[in-house]
Amino acid sequence: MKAALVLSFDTTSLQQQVHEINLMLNNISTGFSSVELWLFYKDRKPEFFPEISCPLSDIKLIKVDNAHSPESYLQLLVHLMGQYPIDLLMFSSDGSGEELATRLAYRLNGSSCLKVEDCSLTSAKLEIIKPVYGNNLTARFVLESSPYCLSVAKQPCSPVKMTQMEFLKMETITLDQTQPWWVKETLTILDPPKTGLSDADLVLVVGQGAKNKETVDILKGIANTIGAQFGASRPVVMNAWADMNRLIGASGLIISPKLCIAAGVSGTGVFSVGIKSSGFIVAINIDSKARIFQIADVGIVGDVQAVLSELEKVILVEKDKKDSSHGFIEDRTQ
Amino acid sequence: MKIAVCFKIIADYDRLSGKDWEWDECRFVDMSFVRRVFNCFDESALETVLKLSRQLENVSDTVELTALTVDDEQGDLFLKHLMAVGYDHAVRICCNNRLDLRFNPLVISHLISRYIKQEGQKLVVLGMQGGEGDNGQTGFLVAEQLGWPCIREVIDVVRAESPDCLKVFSRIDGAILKQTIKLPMVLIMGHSLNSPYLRVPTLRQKLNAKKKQLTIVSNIELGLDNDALLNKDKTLMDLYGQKPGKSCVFLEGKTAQEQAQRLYDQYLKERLS
Ligand SMILES: Cc1cc2nc3c(=O)[nH]c(=O)nc-3n(C[C@H](O)[C@H](O)[C@H](O)COP(=O)(O)OP(=O)(O)OC[C@H]3O[C@@H](n4cnc5c(N)ncnc54)[C@H](O)[C@@H]3O)c2cc1C
Repeated sequence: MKAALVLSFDTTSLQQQVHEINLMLNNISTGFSSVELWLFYKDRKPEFFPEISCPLSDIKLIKVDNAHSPESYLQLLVHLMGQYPIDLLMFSSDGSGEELATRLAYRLNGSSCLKVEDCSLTSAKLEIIKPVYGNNLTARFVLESSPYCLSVAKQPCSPVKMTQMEFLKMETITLDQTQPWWVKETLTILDPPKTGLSDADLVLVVGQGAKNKETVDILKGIANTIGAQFGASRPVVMNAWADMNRLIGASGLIISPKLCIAAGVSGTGVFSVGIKSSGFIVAINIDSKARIFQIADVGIVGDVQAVLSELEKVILVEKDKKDSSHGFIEDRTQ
Repeated sequence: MKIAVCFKIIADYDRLSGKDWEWDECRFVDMSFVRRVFNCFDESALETVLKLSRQLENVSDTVELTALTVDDEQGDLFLKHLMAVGYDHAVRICCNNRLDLRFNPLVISHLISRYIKQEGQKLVVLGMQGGEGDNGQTGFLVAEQLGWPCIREVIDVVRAESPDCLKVFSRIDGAILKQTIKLPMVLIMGHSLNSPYLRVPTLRQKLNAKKKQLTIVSNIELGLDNDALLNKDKTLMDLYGQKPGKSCVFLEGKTAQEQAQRLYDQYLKERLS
């Protein structure tokens, strides 16, 4: 079976996307006769490449004229598949990967599946594992028709390195591309810079149990004093109590800090998938039966603001103690 | 302008504990005891279109809104709700109950696109994920079948100067893209802060809606027989529950102060240093 990894060089999360694909390759790559990298680029031809966890047989660098138009990528992919047929195409976990996997499979009469966590080859058919029922269950499917187009599941942040590949077979593909006639005007408004939430060691995630913006603001302050990044559940973000780039969960960020404090969140499947690989989870909830306690190492049944305000005080007192004993040692050495 | 919003009613998984997940030999999960709700992304789509229709009507366009779902009779209550808040037509596409459509976005999109072709809508808006299959593919496949442009992760859509265009705001790789797009088009809603929730109808609106008729269309009427609704794309082999949860240690304490001190002393001190 021939496989190709389809990625876009200019995306801000390329190294993370490759990490996610690598996890899947680790389980299946022995079943492939060849693995190619199909890398789209916009202006500058790539000179550095993300580290892929299996040997590549070929790198195709594909110039795309309109990086915002999925149709441009699709036309190029259909063309390439005509020239160099591939059995399995792996796409990134983001919206772009999901769109391309779905639409390409449709155009080529293949099968597609998104958020794939694992895949294996059994008697020439591809089996995949993916979450269903709002991340409460996992399902195993056999995909019926090749080419198989998969987008991989999001994983906690662990970007791979970029290297300068000494590579024998590398070709550049430039093709005429029709401009999307339906787009009359485009303007890009850049998002605020990244928060540092995805790779933080300490995160405080707050849910609707905080009840209102004022309390959320107080909790943001507490996060700040204890040196934690601030994350939020969907209702907190949708009520505009926190920014969208703070959203944790299936439709937000997947994080794995060393220590995660989840306060006032109920812990539904779609939320919990976002924090469950954290090193240590502390849950604070007023309801002792809340689902969040099922993924927590330590739980406190109590009010989010009361417990966190006290915790802030304790941490500040301890910090003061440490600072003054540090000062004392320094004084003695003078 | 004729606009359709496709939505899905899902079981409210938030209400289920980790232990409630069981399935039969056909791998069906019984959700009959769980409250049903609008999928949150679809809810945004439904509200966004209500707001858009106001803007379009202000410039004397006649707007005809259709809310469309593929469901059994349980969807009717929600369709009535949508008629109450301003949808002109409420349509339910019904299929043979024994068919498993959970993991079959291809067939769902066939049903939707057939209906759209028949009725001549120029704008189709959908949500982006959710439900049993959490397939996340229906919108893309509707666009493919209609041969229309498709914008994903839309956060808002407003009127454009030219009547055959709309201004669409969407999220794309660390930025917001504002595009003026020519109709027809398929829009897939993401997290929309402008329209996170669907409006609530007044009592009078509710009473008026009671009198209105829902439209029920079968797959056969759309030219797709039961055989055409089988899943030829993928076969479900097995379902798995969550791995057993952690054995959470609960910290006792009479006051929040005591609890916080214990948490710090026993678990956080070394982790925060
Ligand atoms: C397709 C889809 C995708 C989704 N994706 C996401 C996602 O990525 N991320 C996400 O977060 N959600 C997502 N959701 C929404 C998700 O289903 C839940 O609705 C959401 O996670 C609930 O957020 P919450 O726990 O903050 O709120 P609630 O469910 O309202 O829980 C609040 C909790 O706070 C507790 N509480 C109340 N008062 C206090 C107090 N004073 N002190 C302490 N605790 C208190 C309550 O006991 C309760 O457990 C998605 C839903 C769908 C349908």
